Amino acid sequence: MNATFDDADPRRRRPALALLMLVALAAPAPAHAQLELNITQGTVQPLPIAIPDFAGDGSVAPETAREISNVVASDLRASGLFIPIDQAAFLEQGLSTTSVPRFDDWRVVNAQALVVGRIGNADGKLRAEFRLWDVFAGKQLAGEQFFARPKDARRIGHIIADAIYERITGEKGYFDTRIVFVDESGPKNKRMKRLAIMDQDGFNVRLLTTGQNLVLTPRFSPSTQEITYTSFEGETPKVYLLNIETGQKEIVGAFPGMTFAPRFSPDGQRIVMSLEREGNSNLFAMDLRSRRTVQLTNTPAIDTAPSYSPDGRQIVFETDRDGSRQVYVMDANGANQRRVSRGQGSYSTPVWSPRGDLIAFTKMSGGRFLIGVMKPDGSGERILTEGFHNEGPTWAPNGRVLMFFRESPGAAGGPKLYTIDLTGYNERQVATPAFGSDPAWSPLIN
Amino acid sequence: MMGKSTFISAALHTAIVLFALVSFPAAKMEHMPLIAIPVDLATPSEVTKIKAGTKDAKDDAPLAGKPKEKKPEAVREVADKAEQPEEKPKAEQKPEEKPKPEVKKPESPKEAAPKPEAKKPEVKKADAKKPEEKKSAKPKQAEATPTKPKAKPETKRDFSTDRIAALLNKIPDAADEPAPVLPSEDTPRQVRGQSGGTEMTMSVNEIDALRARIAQCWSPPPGGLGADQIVVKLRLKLNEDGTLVGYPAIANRGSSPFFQAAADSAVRAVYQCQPYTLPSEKYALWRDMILNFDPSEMYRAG
Repeated sequence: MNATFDDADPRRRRPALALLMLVALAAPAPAHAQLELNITQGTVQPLPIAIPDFAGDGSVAPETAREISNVVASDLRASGLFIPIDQAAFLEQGLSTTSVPRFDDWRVVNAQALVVGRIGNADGKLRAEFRLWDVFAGKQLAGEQFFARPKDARRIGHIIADAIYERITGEKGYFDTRIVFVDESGPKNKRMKRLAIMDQDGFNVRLLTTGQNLVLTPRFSPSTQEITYTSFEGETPKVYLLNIETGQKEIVGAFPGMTFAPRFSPDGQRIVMSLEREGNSNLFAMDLRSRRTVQLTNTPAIDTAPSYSPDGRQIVFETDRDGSRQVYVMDANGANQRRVSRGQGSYSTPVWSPRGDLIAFTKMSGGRFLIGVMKPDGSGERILTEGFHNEGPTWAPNGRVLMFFRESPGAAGGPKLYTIDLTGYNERQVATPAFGSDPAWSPLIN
Repeated sequence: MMGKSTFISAALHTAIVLFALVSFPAAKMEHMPLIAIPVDLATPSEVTKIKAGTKDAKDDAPLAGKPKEKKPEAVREVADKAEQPEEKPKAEQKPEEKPKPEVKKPESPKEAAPKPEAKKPEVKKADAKKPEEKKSAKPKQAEATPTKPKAKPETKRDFSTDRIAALLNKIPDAADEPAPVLPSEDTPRQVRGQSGGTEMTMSVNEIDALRARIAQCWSPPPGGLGADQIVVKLRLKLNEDGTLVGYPAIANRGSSPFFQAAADSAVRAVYQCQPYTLPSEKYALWRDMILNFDPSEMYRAG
């Protein structure tokens, strides 16, 4: 006999009980009944995870091994979904990747997961291996090995953190990624703006332009090898394409007016952007191979900030055709243009989530700048953060975290980069050498 | 005159007989719930618990429609196959999956070895050497339980998860108190007595307390698109002291990439929550139970 006890609503409980009694009356009681319960409530909390320092196998400096485990721990901590346990609490020392941990020792310190890693040297390359253990069940959840150039030690940490994140949460990680942004230095009235690229956690910053010309809105191609951005190099601002590896640079399209706000299509074949003429700007898409250009919008208004849906079939953009700036969605060929933003205030810089379910935006309302998300039909609007000036959200490749920049007021103020996750609670500043704005998150690096 | 009174008398008798015929089955039915319900209201502590349960219910009520539809499906899928055999293929799958990334290097066979070792001893212990398991399990839990209350506030302080928890967790604070309230000793006797010594059910309080206890331990993965649709069905067997017998069996399957993560979170919850404090005289009822972990309401709330 299976007796299902459903939720504790007394109104429903009583008939359920009565039914149970009827069943009990009808059939003689079996030897033992199987209890079946529905668990519909839990307590969302970060997973306590133990990450002892990775061991070096003698061929590698212990500091290198430790740095890698530190990267793993700080990535996982920054996600807000894990709490690395203080190493001082650990009972079992000298763990090895070749033996089974003493799970009792780890249960005592309340670790639910345990990461054991070892770093070695193989033919001039770093060899990293790790195992992820479920402490309560006493079983291995993941175990992998990687090889990398010695200078990519931190990247190994990010890759291991991604593997752990993916195994525990079921969704792809986002730690082995990079950010391209505008590095801003100098006084407020004479700011130098240079393109820069760095790891997702703020390490390994590299400048891509010299700072002679103002640069804006850099965006990654899906291959992560190229970026497109707006630069004030000539007489008018133009959209450029830059290969990060080779440094090769070119103007996108031979348009008479100013071009800006470029973004790649998900397949990397096209760039969609704004072209300004006589105070109006309309959206154009250019095929990068054929160089053919298609006009997508044609209104006496400012249409800008286009962003493709992940399937490439639709484009979300910002327009002031209704008076104030609002978010519109259209088919990728420009058909079927419709307004989706409905709330009070103005909306700008919409970005489609890589998983397709949400559109992030900047909203200005009551003198405040908010970063929020809505469904692609405009419903379910949620504000994640607000402040004096927040702008320009960009999605992590798994669609769970957003990065944006926040400007602080005053003469000494300037923009800084921040991340926030979809819960709206896990907000963190990303360290940059100087001020930073206009961040764009890369896809996962392969 | 005589005829008239005879007629009235006959009519009344008929009415009484009819009334009895009609109302007796109903009376019997009403009788049954009465057996169970007063039992729940025996002690003041239980009253507190009932309140907690009712609060819980209020939140659930408007949302209850969907999960109700879903659950039967999930249950149906596996109800037949479920049971233990399912566990074995699972256990076999994992070792197969893992070695793959490691095959790269010559050492890997050596290292692959500990995995099966790690798993099997645990499972075997539980299955085969029951007495030993009980002994060894007890101290573990004794240690684990005291640490838990300590850890909770800690985790809440960090990362302002308290706010997330407050948002997502609909269980009122009262229900967060550990030690589920159980009926007083005479409760089960009443149940047994009135139903002829054969009928025993878990009271609504006991069910609620167990549910609240597991809610404290269960932290479903944050999930992505479609993760809220995943229901994990766990079958667990318990010793009389409330500790787990062996490894809980995952009694359903899912094709979503989130299923494994969801199943692991459910298993972790069940491990972490033991030992379960349940009425020992009803051991027959809870020695073998099924838990359906369904996060859909929590995700909707978030």
